[in-house]
Amino acid sequence: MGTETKDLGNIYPIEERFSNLLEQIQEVLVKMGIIDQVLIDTDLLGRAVVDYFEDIDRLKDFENIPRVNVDKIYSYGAFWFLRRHPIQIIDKTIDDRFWYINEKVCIAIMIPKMFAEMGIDLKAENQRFKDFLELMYYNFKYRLYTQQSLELMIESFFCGYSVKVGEEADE
Amino acid sequence: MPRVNVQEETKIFGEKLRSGYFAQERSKNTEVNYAQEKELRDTEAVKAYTQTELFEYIKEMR
Repeated sequence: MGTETKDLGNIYPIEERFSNLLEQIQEVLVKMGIIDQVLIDTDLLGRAVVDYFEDIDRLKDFENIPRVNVDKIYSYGAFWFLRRHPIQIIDKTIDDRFWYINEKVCIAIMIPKMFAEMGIDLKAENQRFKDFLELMYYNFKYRLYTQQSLELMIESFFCGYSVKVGEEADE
Repeated sequence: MPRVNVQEETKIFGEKLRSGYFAQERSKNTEVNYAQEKELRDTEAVKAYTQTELFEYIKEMR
């Protein structure tokens, strides 16, 4: 770790973020039943977390803001996680459902956070939302995206839900 | 169009710049202390989410 990274460690809760993320990833991998078929490269995960905080730090400096909103936390976090691919497959017999394991885990981690932020029941589901999950997965696997496009996606989700709830409240 | 006077136009530009004529676009941001206010909530949400049917759907996606 260079001097700059050590400085970031004094400013941001980098270790706590790493710890929470590792806990979330492991929980998901255990529940998917594949924890013994993959490896979490903690150096790459650490790199993703540091890259995230470096990116956010630059953004805050440029925008002259003391903190960022959760849209950015989720979108920038997802971007750097997917960029660094910390989960590696070590068992070649793993089912092909899990070939894009980083993309899949990213979704499994991001969705409950978005639900929690909106106060949506975690058990909620409908076909339209399943289609949205499929589209997100496809985008992560095959399409180009940026931190900013992911932020727009997340904010769109928040906005759509808020508008709908607002409509129901007005009725 | 006829050539403009560069020095004059530069002077006009400088005056507009200093007067705030060119508005700076800055991010509209809602502050949050994520680590203190929301991170534990989110970690617990991820764990709870692994018990749902939608998690099973994500697991089966190809």
